[in-house]
Amino acid sequence: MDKLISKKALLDSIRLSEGAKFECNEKAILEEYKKQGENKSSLAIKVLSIFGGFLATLAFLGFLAITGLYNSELGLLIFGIGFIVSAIWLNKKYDKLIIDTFSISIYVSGFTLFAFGLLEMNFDENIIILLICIIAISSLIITQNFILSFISILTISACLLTLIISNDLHDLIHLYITVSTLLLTYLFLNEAKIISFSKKLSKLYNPIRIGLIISLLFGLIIIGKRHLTPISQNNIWLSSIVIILVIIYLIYTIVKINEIEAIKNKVLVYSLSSLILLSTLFSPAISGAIVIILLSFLVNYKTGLAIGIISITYFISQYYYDLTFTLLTKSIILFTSGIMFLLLYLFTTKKAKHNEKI
Amino acid sequence: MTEIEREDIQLISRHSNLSKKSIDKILKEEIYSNKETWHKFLRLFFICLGIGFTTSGIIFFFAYNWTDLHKFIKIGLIESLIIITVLIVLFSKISLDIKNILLTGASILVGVLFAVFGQIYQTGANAYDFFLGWTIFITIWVAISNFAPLWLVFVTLINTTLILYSQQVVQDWSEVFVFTLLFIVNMLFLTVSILKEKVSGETKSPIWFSNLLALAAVSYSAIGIVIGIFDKSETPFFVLLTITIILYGIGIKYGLKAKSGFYLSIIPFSIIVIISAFLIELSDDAGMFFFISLFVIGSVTLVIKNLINLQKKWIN
Repeated sequence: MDKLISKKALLDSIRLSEGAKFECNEKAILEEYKKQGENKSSLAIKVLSIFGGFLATLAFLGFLAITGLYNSELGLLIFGIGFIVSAIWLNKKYDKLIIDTFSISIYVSGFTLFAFGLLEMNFDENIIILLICIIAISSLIITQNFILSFISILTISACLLTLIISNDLHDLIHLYITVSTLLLTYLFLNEAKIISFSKKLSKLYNPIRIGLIISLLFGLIIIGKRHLTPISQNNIWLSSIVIILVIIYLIYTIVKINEIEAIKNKVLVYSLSSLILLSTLFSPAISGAIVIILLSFLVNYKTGLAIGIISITYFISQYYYDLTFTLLTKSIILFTSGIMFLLLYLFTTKKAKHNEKI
Repeated sequence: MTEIEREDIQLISRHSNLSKKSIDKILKEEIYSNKETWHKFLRLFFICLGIGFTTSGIIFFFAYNWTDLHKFIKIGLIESLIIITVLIVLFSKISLDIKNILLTGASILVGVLFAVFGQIYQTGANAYDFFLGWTIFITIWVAISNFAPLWLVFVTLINTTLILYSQQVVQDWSEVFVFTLLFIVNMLFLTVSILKEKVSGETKSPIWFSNLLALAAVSYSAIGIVIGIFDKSETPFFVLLTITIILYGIGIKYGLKAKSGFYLSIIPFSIIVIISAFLIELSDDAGMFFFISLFVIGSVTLVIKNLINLQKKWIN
């Protein structure tokens, strides 16, 4: 197989540059490559199994609703736990792509049955949510299958958001956004540290990365779309603080990568970016999307970049749609930000030309 | 050195004592964006945001009801903006990408022009002829620039015009017929965008554009058929069904030839959705729902299994 040979060459070149202290289990690596070749997943396959899984879950829940099986609380609970356990066990035992659709549907149906069962038994809503959260976390520890881990991450963040909303603690959403922004940034900027920390974390890295992006988006949508939840609009800048700090740190990193050294240029970059960031102080959704874009581009993660670009377009339109200023004020704000971006564009082009001359 | 991918690094680090520092070094050198890509990205990012914001600023400016402004001044202002933008595109020495982005901005301004026209003469902001006029007057720019985002604006406009026309002008088009029409129109654009590069050898249209068109077309046909199944409308339904069967067949064939996992996923998934809808129409008792959930799992798994096998074949 050509691929294996080229991978072997790759390994050799690393060995060469690392020197004598480099040790690796070549057999295990090549073995895993072979296994991966048989199980190579593409974005299309992942999306297909997720959509298929959810469609099947819907049909199954329809079946339960019609038969009235949901009348037996104990039955629901037992089936729910049974489903969740089998989903995790199946993935632990056979880490194969083709069982993904099946395990997603029983995993998600399992959670739904479990929650309904407990609800019917008049358990406290908060306790149910916490239990689901704990189960999802344990599943992350037990199995590191991509899809199941991804869904677990989404489950955990959905649980946290439900806790916040159902208890009317709406301002805690800022904490949620702050924490997920920081986690996401840490994850992206410390890739090497995390994947070399342990085998489990290395396998969890990809699902957690995409999971956290979507989790952050959940939070951003809640504050980005007005009247979705009754959060106080006066405190909305709370989320912006950490986001803006993170962006400034990222700009610092980007400035370093781009080798901008002249003080004059640095001042220009920082002041223009600060002006733009200040204008987003009351729309953390927009700056949050900027964080996703910058981080994804920094580490060259294309899916994240696409998600970021789509979400920033959405958040910007939503923001200006919701603004209560007169259209004239809106127009002036938009126009000024536009000119600011065009200035940044001119700056980057000028800089590029300058570099070419040297 | 062979191309190293992120997956390789993850895999090797799992089975070796590769230090954190070396991983970091390899990631930074081989995977992460470097100075050049950052430059390219930032320039595109800033120019898109810049033109996007400026144009929307202009839109809002004219959306504000200027009662004092004479209509000649209003329309004249937008027209001169359009002319200036086009002159820049024609005669300046900026790069082609930037010219294309500017032209896209100008195309949006044409929409503003029609909107202001509608505002002055009270023709309504969502009348289909507003979108029709907008579409027609940017057609030449779209064809000449051949710029995918501008094409996207154009195709969106055509879809909008069609939908509004079916709602505002003709009353007797059935829903199934409208979806059939939308399906065919989007398929036409998809075919053109695929064939274009073959015939003229022109620069490839980006994959996201053709994929988006394919997704729109397949969704239209699936929605149309599902509506048809529940509505029991006769002739248009069978026409749509026949066209869909033929085009899906061609789509699968193309997907196999072009090694596109995307086509080979959306078409089967759409068929699965259609069959599920058909099964619900047959009977909506509990047993059927249970059967459908098994059917979906089984069929999706089958599709994935085939995709994996195909991928293996394509790699070797």
